[in-house]
Amino acid sequence: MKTILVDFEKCVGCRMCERACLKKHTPEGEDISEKFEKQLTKQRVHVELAGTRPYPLRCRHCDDPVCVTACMTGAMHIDYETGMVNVDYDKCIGCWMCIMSCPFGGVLPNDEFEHVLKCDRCLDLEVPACVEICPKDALVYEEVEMRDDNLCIGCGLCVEVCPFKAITMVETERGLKARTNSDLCRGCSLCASSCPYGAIFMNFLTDDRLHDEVHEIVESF
Amino acid sequence: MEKYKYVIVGNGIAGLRAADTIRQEDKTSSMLMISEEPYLSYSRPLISYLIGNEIKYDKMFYHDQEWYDNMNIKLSMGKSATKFEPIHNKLALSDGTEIGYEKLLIAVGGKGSIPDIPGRNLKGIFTFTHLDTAKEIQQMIKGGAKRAFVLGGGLVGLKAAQGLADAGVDVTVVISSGQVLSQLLDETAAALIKRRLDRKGIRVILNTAVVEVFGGDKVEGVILESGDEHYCDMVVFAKGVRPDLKYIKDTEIKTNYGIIADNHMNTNIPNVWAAGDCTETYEEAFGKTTTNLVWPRASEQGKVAALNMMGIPKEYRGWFWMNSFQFYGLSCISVGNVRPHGGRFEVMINQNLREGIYRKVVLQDDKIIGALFVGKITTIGTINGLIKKQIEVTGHKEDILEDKLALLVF
Repeated sequence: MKTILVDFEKCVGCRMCERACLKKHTPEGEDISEKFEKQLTKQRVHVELAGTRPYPLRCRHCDDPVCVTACMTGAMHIDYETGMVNVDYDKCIGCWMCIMSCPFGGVLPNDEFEHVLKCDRCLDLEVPACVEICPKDALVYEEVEMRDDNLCIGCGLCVEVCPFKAITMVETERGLKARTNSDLCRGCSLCASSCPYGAIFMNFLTDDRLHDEVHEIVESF
Repeated sequence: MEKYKYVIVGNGIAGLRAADTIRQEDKTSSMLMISEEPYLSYSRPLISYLIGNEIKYDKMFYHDQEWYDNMNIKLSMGKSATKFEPIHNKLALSDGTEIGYEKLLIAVGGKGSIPDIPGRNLKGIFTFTHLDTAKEIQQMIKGGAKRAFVLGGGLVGLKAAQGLADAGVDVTVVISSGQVLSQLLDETAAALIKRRLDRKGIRVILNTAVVEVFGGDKVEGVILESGDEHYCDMVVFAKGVRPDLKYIKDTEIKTNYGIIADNHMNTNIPNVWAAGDCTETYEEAFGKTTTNLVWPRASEQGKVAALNMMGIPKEYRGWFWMNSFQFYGLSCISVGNVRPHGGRFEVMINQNLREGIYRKVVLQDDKIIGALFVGKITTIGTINGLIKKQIEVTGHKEDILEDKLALLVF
């Protein structure tokens, strides 16, 4: 499974991601400049300053999303097909329970304050608009599940444990190696936790990675 | 006698989340859900939106029958579970059907209460919690009901008032305290909300109560403490919702104000769990065992209960005191302690009352303990994160209301 990750070090706060997201989610021909200047949100990502450092906030499509727990209409839901957290705009009444609950600032109200907006990962595009435009490669669209072929001995345990039948063993020049079909992978991390050789690991924003980020920023003050 | 591995009494969010959680792990075990009302699961907070024609009837519902079928859940509708016999692992429905279970979840929810005042049984008096009530109210409005009194200035009361007003009814809200939403807002925020309601023609009378409802067989009016009589066609009591323990009280299951559950949502009976509005749990935000009738808490408890029912240990950690709502475009979110008493607190305010913007943060020992945002609400989620994680904000205080604190949460 692919997800949008942030390399915080590289972000310069140019807000091109906001603009690209706004453009992607605005009907063709409509002028976005005014909306953008006035900070009326139709974009699903926004760049906030942490002290003096910019940081793009966006939905992480959590495994156990608090926004879904908080939603009283059923509008916010997990799409088990894609593993994404999505909103049914017809059902959303704009009570903002999700905005209140999300500690990542990943949910925003729309410009008319009628319903919420959040990242839909631009599924109709190969690469999400925000990632595509980012001039500093601070936003990347990457596989969640990563492999180190040097460590993989081709035992096939990951194939067995994968609940989504996303992993197959492939004969390569260097012997049998595990390969993941990213369309089927849901990023559950069962393979990573069961691999006896540590050959599979998750490219999530893990707690450790987040702590490192916080550390970096504290030191940069 | 029918027998099931899992029986869930209640078809609200707690029961539903529990069923969903179980089915994510276990697709085959037999499961029965018992719904007292003759409806598929629906969202009770949406009743006011239905009356106000803000949403369509079919959007009230969480899932259709197909969902239950796909999930392999048997749904019994229109009958209450009336007789609980936890010693014998069985219960009976209102029509006498006996049902056996291996594991039972009680998620029967809450019920609006009507205080003991003269005229409380007249036709045209409602509590605002059930879909049937909404349908009756819609019928009355179609039949020409013009004036309504809503008693209670909490979220249920004010949302009821908004729904009725949107349906063209002339609404007066009577509140016994000195402000609207006294549990959630301070005076300034409450005044902003009240002003918005005033503008939309909803009258709010503070510091008084209704002492009597009068009429023949149906409501004709109310009498206030001052003795003033006001004519109206219907009265909505929104004076708090209580756990619905009618059929639980006299069983072996231990209750207090609600059903007592431990931090695994287990009751005193090993194979009986409880979740949602009917349940009393230890809530750290209050420092005591209590009920707390809010949506996300019920949802979370349903999930925790389900995991424990399947033998996967999971702890319920309490729900934070917070709520969020919108009245006619004026958004408001209140988290934690927003009305501190005493001198050990630091309060920071950023406001433009004319524009309807009011943002207040309460700190104690350089940690945020409460936030109240009206009008401009986008960053409250990250502040909520700072509160929950108890992060010290020394040196960044001026950033808090400038929306610059996001990263400290992560």
